[in-house]
Amino acid sequence: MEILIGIGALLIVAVCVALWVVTVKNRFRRLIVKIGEGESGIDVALTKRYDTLTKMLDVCRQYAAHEVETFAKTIEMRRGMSMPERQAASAQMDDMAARLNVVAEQYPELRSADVFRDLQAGIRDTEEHLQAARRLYNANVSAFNQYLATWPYRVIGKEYKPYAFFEAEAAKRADISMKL
Amino acid sequence: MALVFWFIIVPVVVLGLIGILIKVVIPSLFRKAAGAVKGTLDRKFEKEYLTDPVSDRKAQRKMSTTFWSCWVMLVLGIIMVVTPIVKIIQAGEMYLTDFLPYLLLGAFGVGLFILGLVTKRRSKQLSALVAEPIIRDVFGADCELDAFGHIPNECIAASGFVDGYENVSGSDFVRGSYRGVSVMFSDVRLTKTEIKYDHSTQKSHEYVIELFKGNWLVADFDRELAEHPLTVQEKRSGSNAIQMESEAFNRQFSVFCPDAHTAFYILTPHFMERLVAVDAAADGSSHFKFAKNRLQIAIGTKRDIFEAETFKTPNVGAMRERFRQELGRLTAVLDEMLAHERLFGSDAERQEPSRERELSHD
Repeated sequence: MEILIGIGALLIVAVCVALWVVTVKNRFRRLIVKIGEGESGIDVALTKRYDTLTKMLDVCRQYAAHEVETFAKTIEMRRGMSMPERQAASAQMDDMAARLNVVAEQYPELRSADVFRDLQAGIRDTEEHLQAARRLYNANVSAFNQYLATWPYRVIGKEYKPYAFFEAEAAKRADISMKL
Repeated sequence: MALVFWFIIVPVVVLGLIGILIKVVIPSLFRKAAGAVKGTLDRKFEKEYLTDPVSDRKAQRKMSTTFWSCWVMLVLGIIMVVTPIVKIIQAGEMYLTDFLPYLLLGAFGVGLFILGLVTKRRSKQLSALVAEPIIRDVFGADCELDAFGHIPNECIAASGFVDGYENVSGSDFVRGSYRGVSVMFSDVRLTKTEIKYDHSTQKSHEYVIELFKGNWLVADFDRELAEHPLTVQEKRSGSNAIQMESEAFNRQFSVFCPDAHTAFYILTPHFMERLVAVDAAADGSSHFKFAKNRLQIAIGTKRDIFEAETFKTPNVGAMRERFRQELGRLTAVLDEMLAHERLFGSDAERQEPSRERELSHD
């Protein structure tokens, strides 16, 4: 009788442990799905920004073909990019947006063109969306990485690796000085 | 025939006329008289106490007088009602001639108590009038004010902030505009009635449970704020709440939205800080909802915004300062939204004369 009770107790403990392992595994999987959604959000925002920048480049070309010729086709966008590649693409877009704005400063008629102003507003909007997508992705990555780094979850999740954050461009993280 | 006329038709007609008099004519006359008195008093107060150069001093005097007379009347009324009851109980049996003075005293006490309540209501009106210059300053000179109105029920129901309420009441309704945004504002109280059965006395008792009391603001922007409805409210346990990156924010609020991207898009780090500050300063539960072009804010302060303290002599200067601060906390959220709007490229910002500036990264 005592042996049966012991076996029963062991079985109950084993079932509880198995249920816990399944729950933790599912939590990991849910977080991975969320991270995937975050990545897709970043891709959407990057693509939209890329399209807007391309249109902006076309508009600039009408006014200042010579200036913009040198920095056309420098951004590479493709499916299934890794996070560092996405960061690099984002940095290239930042650079191109800044350079287009410099060109616009030299051409008042370009700067005052309705289509150019609309595209500038569009760029700002896509930048906000990219920020939101980046923060959402990073929040999910942070939750996953924290989970993975904590005992006893790291025992269950040893098959997984920490995800890389989508970090702001190094230049943007630096201190900024403004001269007026 | 004559009997029928005198004993049936005449009594029916007379009773009918009396009924009409009691149910329709007298209440109507009373309402008109009360409205006329109220309007005259309001206009008089506004003219005498709020528009001349010494308005604050006069308003202060009027409010102090109202405060003290209200409490004197209420306390005296209670004493004058309770004393005869105690005396009659102590006496046991009493002749009618002995009983009549007590009855008169009690009746006078009831009258005084009612007058005290009326004065208390008047005190509330005075508070609203004292707050009026600030309200008009914030929500526009032509804003609509109603000391006893509140946010429409459908707005409150659509927010989904409070579940299971049955009754809506409120005061200090304002409809105006803030920096071009249509705004409605009022104090709101949401309650429900519960019936509990007491086994010891074998009787049922009704209890009014207060689910929310505080300030409510509805702002209608001229653009869509959120692609999906976003609700930010006091911390609730729930697995479907979106976790933002700010720990301080997550400790204070739960965020609900069908699309996490929308939540992160609207709740920028700076905006989250602002909401945390609003919640901390309000000392009550805060709720925010962004749906289509409408922002709803409900702060459960547990008291009315434009009301003088119950047991403290009103101080007009301090009251105005408090009104201004409390309104400022709410409008700070609107300011943040409007700043956000500018970020998305209003013409005003784009047409700003550009100063020569140089940005360089160290």
